[in-house]
Amino acid sequence: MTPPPLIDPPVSVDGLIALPVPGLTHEDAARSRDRARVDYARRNKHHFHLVWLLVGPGILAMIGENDGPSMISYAASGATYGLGFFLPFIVLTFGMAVVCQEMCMRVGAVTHRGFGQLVLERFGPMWGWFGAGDLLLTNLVTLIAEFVAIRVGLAYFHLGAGVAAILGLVLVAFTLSGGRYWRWERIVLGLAIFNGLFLVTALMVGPHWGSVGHALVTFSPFPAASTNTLLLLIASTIGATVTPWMIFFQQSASADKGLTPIDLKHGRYDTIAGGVLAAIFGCGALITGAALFGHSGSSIQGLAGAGFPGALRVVSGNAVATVFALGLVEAGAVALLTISASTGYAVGECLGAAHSFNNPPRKAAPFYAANIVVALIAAGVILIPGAPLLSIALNANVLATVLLPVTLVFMLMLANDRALMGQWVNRPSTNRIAIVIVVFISLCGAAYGIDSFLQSTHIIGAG
Amino acid sequence: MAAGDPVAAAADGGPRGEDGELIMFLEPDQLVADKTKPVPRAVLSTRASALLWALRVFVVAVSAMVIYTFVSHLA
Repeated sequence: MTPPPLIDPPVSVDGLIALPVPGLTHEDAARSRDRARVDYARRNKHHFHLVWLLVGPGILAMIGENDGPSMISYAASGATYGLGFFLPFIVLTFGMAVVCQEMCMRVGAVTHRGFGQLVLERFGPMWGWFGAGDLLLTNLVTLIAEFVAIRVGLAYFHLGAGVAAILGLVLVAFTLSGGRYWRWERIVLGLAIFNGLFLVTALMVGPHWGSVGHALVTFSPFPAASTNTLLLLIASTIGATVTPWMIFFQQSASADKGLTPIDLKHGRYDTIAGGVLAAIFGCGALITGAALFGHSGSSIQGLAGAGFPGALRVVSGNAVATVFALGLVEAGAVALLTISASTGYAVGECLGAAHSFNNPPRKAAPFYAANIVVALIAAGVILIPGAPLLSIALNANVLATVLLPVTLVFMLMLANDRALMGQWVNRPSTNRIAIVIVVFISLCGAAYGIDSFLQSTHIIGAG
Repeated sequence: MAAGDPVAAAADGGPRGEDGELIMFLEPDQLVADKTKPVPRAVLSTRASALLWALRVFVVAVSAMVIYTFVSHLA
């Protein structure tokens, strides 16, 4: 017995498949084929195949957030402060991300609808469009930063901004060309494996593992920095692990993949696996950066040129630098694809248009157009001579942190909505943890925003 | 596989005439036709609405501060 072939059903001229089932669309037929394979694996107890079929959205959301600016931010923390507080803090923030993303997966699997669509329909167009507006703003800024990361990685190989822009756009166009969610997901998962390059560089620099263990257990040494710098680093690290696009993406992708309540256990495996892998790779970037601690690492302007790979070449050798540069290209590329997808989902859902990779482009024009246009704008920005790319990249994560609480509150409301979720509503313990996370993130974002503003207006001095 | 089992036959990529059976692999509310029907609007209490508005104003204010700081550092 062999799994069903990956072929599309016959399609008639009006877009409905030529089957004796009224109203069954191309999207339905494609999704039902994926579900047939899941059903086959489940009925025949092919456990590993079932895991293989059901993983995807969770790993992609988590690894996608291990993006270019995040990895540079982790490496910068390591280069500036060495191994210490930020190593376990990365692990802690990915723990927070798992709690938030599990809710997204669950709501998507139970309701079969994306986050933007549910907020818009359940709470009204105004709240829906507010959420989509937040997402578009943070996604655009973040996508610029992804192109910057690709550019930084390629600069090590003496390739310029134009190559970075073309490479990114070709990748987006290629992954969108299949008209199948399964194809898109597997290509991006294949690319995401290379996020492990940051673990390779960490092993190559030969850290003192006793210091790594000590930092993970004790959260020390605590970085000696000004309050504002610490708040910036904490806000950036949170923004590097939990963001609005991840929530839009995982819920919409879970629905697009066709997850149902019977798949919740595997959805949790997927989310936890993504969180664990992302935390390990993120810590790998910090440990690699820490190799520069004490070698003027804090002075590296990583995004202004090929700063980190170049500095690593001097301290740790050409092999480490090459792998790190390739890792930056991968991190930027995967995030480019997942963040563009989250934009497409949000736009399609809020416009009430078709929003699935299982549709051909002519059947879901706004969805595909949003994917492409947002990437095009971001690629255009990095080609502008003198654009403040360093500042944009550094502020991308902070802006995501500041705007996140509203998205998280709506996520909590949806996950507790018994009319939508039935028996799959949040447990009280999940609610307690989620509320603590929302309050913590709100306070961190506000503390940095207010402190920076007061310093910029000279109401208080730098401290 | 039981002989004549439509689920297994469809999952096996059986004859084209059995494609219609694939619909049984989707839950009814997974069909596009069902997903395009909006879910009923929730009734938010005055307190909940006030809290959401307060949070919205809060994040807009803090975002404005972050953007102001960003722009002022460029100058």
